[in-house]
Amino acid sequence: MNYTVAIAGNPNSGKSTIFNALTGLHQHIGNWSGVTVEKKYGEYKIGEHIINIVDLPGTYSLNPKSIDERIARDFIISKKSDLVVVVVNASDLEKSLTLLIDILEAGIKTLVVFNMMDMVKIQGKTIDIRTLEKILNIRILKTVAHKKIGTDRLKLSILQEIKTPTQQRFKIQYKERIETTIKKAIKYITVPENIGVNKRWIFLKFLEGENILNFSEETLKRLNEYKKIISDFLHSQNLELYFVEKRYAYVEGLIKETVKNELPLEKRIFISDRIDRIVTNKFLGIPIFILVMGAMFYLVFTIGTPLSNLIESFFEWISVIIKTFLTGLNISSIIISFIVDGIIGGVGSIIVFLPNIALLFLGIGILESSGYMARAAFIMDKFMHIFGLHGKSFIPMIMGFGCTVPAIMSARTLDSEKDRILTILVLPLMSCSARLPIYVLFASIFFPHKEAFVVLSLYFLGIIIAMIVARIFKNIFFKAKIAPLIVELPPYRMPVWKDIFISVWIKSKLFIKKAGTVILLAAVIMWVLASLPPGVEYASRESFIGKIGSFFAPVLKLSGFGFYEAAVALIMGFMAKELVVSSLGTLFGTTLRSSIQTLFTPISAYAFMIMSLVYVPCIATIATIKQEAGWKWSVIVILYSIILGWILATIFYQTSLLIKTIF
Amino acid sequence: MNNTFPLLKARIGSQVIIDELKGGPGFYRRLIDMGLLPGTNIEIISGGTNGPIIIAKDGIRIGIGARMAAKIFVRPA
Ligand SMILES: Nc1nc2c(ncn2[C@@H]2O[C@H](COP(=O)(O)OP(=O)(O)OP(=O)(O)O)[C@@H](O)[C@H]2O)c(=O)[nH]1
Ligand SMILES: [Mg+2]
Repeated sequence: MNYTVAIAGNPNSGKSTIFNALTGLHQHIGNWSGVTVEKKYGEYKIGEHIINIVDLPGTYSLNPKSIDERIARDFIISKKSDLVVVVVNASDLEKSLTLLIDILEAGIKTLVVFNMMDMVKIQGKTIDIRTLEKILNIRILKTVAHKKIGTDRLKLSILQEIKTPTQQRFKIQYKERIETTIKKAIKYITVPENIGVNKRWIFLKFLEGENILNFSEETLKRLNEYKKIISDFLHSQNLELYFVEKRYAYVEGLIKETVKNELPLEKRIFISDRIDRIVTNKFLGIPIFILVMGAMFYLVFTIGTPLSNLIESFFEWISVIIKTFLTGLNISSIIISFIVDGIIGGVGSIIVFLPNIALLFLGIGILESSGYMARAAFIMDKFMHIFGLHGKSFIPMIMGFGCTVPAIMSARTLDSEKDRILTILVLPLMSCSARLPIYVLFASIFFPHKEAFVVLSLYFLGIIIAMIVARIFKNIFFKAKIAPLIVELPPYRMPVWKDIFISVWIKSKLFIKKAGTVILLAAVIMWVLASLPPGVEYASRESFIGKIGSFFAPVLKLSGFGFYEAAVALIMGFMAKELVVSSLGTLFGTTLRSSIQTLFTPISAYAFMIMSLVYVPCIATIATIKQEAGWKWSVIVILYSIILGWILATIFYQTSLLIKTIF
Repeated sequence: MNNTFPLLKARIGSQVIIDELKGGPGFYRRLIDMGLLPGTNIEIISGGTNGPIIIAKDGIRIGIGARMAAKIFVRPA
């Protein structure tokens, strides 16, 4: 049999960690709220059964405020799953249980997991799980998900629970008058086939201001009459607040009955708080952030560059060997050129940067896993406001240093649509890992011993441009107020090294795969275009590729790199940013570095880096912007980035030249 | 009760009780999602005095922006 099981619960409660343990997959995990923003699918086999698992975004309640929460809520109440596994952060029972009883009241079949049991121990608490099970009529399993404790039993229990025919009848009893009104009102509600919750709950949500079923005009009128009766009875206090308060009060009672604090409050030491007093300090917060980023890039260079030099020497060595070998075999020079210039030159020139990129992912992984990401949102809130952005916009921005595509998706956690779109618009300006090779290559040629500084300057330039662009767009398109910031700050955790290494490994593999597919294909096409028409000198201005490039090159003249090779590299970069370097690699073959050195000057090299930073995001990014914000915004991004890139590169080049001639 | 004041003005280390949430529906929905209802006892961990603020409620820590903290009224515990 085939069953479907959804994993739901509060943000950061360990849902994806459990999902990974069940399915053996490697979904993104991080120590902040809002890591998962889309349904993720996996499965495991048990006996002859296949259990399909759906990892949902975290949600604080079933009254969603943002897209990711809505995705979770809609799936939970749909009939798409045979069972909902509710993951409870056992070290933060109040919030988790409040969501749980809301799910129970809806009449949804659930299995409950108390995760983070290790934290409960550290907090010096004991939970009487038996009693909780009895009161709520549920089954509870204990897990420590990141250590895989209890997850094997969960596999079995899920199946057992699916097979046990239980009816969830839990409900909170409200005042007599309210209950009778509810009874009358729900006569007017019909629950559609595809929704798996009871009428009473749908009406309760309606009272809280959630029109889940999109009631017809007529039903709406009826229900509103009953709503009025209840709000009059409660002296028209805020109804949502009333029901949420009831749930909290209920949970408070539960906790009083089942949780014992063995350690007195003042005995508990909160290391996290001590760190936070420094890290989030009004004056130290931003400097510390800059220091953290600086340290990260310092590592990317000091460890990464020797490693990439090693790989580079390897490719040079192998090029020479292959060349001599093939020449010895009397193989035509065209084929030799294809292998050495086209393939090794193109693909090799970008593979060289694998160590830098892997280290960058390692750094981001540590940031994500430690708990610093949530703090970054908090620290930057005020600063971001100056530019019309939200504190939470900062988390996607940091993710953007890795790859812009998931960063754009993660903007879903922003409550306000305007904040979200504005964030998406500027995210391409965060230097993604594919742009790192461009910076490293040019910086190492023109600014030896100052590479780290030069590359870091481009990252900060990206941030600064993003801020200014955001401010301008804010004034033009999004005049509304920025949503206020409230963010949960999870305790700092030792990074889970295994998770981080696996994630770095997966991303490195993806990079190599890209090199072996997209980049290889581009290299082959470019080599062909550079070798035709027959008889032409390879990659000369008379070749096809030379003609295409020369057509665009004049536009780039003012920016300091008006030669066809630069134009070709930038055009290819539209496909994927890795292609900027690999195209130059294909065109120049083994003379990549020396050719760049003769064509560019330090000033035009920096202008070229600015151009590569700003001008047009890659196709995958554009497609994601279209998916998340609509085609209108993706067109706007294409236009503003090309124009802005050109203007900034040109301004930099011209003023630098001017300054140079004056002094 | 006249001794209420905005959370923004609370001092580090002090204990306060949430008295009133003076904001729109979106505003309080965010707060009650975090369990910050009127009557809740909270402690100020860091920040504050006109800046963003970190509060503790039982075991959990919540960061609140300055503009939001200005609209949460509290009284001494
Ligand atoms: N101490 C402890 N940490 C855990 C446990 N399970 C997961 N974690 C950590 O908790 C953090 C959150 O885990 P995730 O699996 O990403 O949480 P999630 O519920 O999927 O979060 P969202 O996708 O943001 O809703 C990570 O840092 C995990 O390593 C546990 O049992 N004990
Ligand atoms: Mg997750």
